[in-house]
Amino acid sequence: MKQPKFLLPLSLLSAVVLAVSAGHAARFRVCNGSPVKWRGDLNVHRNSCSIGDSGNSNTSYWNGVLQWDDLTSEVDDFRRRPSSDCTFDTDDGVNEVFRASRATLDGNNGVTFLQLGACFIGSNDIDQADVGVASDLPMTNPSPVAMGNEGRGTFVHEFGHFFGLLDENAGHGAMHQTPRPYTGGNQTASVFPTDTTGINSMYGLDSTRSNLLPSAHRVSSSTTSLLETGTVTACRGSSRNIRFYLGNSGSGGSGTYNLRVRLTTSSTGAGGTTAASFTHSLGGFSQGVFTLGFTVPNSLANGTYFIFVDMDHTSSITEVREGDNSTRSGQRLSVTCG
Amino acid sequence: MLHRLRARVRHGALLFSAVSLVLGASALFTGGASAQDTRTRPPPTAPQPAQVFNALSALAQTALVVEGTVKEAISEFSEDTGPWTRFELTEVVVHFGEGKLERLALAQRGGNYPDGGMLVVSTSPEFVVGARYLVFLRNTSWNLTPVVGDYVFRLETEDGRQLLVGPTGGAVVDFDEDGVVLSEPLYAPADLNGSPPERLKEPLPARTLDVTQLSKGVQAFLDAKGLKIAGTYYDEPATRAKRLFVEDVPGKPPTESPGDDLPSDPETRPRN
Repeated sequence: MKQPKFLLPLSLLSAVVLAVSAGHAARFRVCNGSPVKWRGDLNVHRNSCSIGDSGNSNTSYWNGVLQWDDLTSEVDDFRRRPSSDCTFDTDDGVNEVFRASRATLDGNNGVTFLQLGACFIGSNDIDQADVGVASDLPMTNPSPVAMGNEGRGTFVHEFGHFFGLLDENAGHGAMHQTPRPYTGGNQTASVFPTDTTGINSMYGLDSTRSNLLPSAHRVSSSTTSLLETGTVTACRGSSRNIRFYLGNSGSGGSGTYNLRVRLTTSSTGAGGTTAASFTHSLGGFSQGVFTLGFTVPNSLANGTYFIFVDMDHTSSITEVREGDNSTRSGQRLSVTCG
Repeated sequence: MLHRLRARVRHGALLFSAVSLVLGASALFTGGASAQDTRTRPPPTAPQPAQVFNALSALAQTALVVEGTVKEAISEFSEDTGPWTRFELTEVVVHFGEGKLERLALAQRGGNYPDGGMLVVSTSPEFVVGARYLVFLRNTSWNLTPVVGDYVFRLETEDGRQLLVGPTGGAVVDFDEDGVVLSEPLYAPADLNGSPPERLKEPLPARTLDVTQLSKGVQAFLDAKGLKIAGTYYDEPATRAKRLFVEDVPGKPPTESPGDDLPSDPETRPRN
């Protein structure tokens, strides 16, 4: 992760355009320098014996595959294995996604089995992939400030393997080992610029649009941590700084968009009071950690507030995916004075 | 996907296995059921594998920490097991655990199909024949690899320094409560054509740990916790079967999986 950048409030500067780093690219296998990937038709089979037709595991499965496939449209057909099929086989020609006991997976959260063609002359392909996720993992939408094990992020991670990406110990992304960074919204387990740079190198992205997403986490080498933690006391009218990761996982630059810091007593981000506004832009696949300055509004009642960042809250740009533009910090603000 | 598999078999039959190239030309095929009489399979009472998420969870599941040179990779295949590879480690030094070994067999799921294709498992390390490794081996039952999590490190030397390169290409720079800390990747993944892992332009970190320093860190951690590396290393998995049971949806009765041969139904992808 690069050094923190400061963003200036809108009241001081009408447009801030910062050069930030292009995303570190997730890695993939190569054969004679060419990516080892899917070529031709691709079907994905959901094992309905272990992943129900509805519920949180089903939602996790779909989020896992669509985080990637919404970008590349590599999957031609989705299929459902009959519920009476309660096995998987790494050599049956079926790309099957299932949940299994942790012991079956050697204690791992997830495992992906890839059957590859021979690498001799030219490139080679992925011929079959089977994805297993530990069945004891919670499958609900993780908190945006979570630091632990859960199923949705595991599905996203394993589907990265399914499409050919390798594990990461660097870069802010879904292919990083646990704990992984999250964004906000209804699907906090997401791909980030590190991941989309990698998948773009392999398959190309369908869209040239941008996709803005913030995170409360930072990734430094093999360590993921929250940028801010704890509850700090602040008086009305006092100045504070808060750090957020801001990224653009799309290939296109965002152009100028609006950004704000908002304080609310709702952990899900409802309502609240704007504490600072900015204009900003991010190039394609760009990301960085930014320090945002704000003043605790005089209108705030005493209470404990969650600190949210909203990217493009005025919906001025069209993105690859909406609903992932806001998240909250790991830090809360206790306002009792001023 | 059946046509994909058939396509792979058609092309693969003409080609020499790329994994053999990656692992070295010494990769040999043997029948899946042969030469297993002397191997140790975990009994049903053996501890089950658990997640490795920090130093304690890693070391608590470690029976042996060994250093050895991968002399040979032997492919073992049968229709019932799919591909397995047995790596023969020589010039073995045991850093932690019981025993004085000179050679060690390390088998794991994945490797070559007879037709030239290969099976890779996302959690299993990819060994380079001829390279020397520091490996943490399980004291639990296992199904895929006996290696404890990502605790497998290729020994490299650069500027007179010994580096321990982890599976993601970074060098070990620290060992603490969270476990091994790796640097940014210094090495690219090995090309499947057999080329060795390429050194990236990332500069060498100011601080790296060699085998002695990491061992000291591990020992200090064990001493602080009052623990020791112990238990039995099983060089055979609980099962080599390639067909395994998934977890049933709660409320569904156990099944013998009569639907294996039934076709899949189409389903519609949800809208954003």
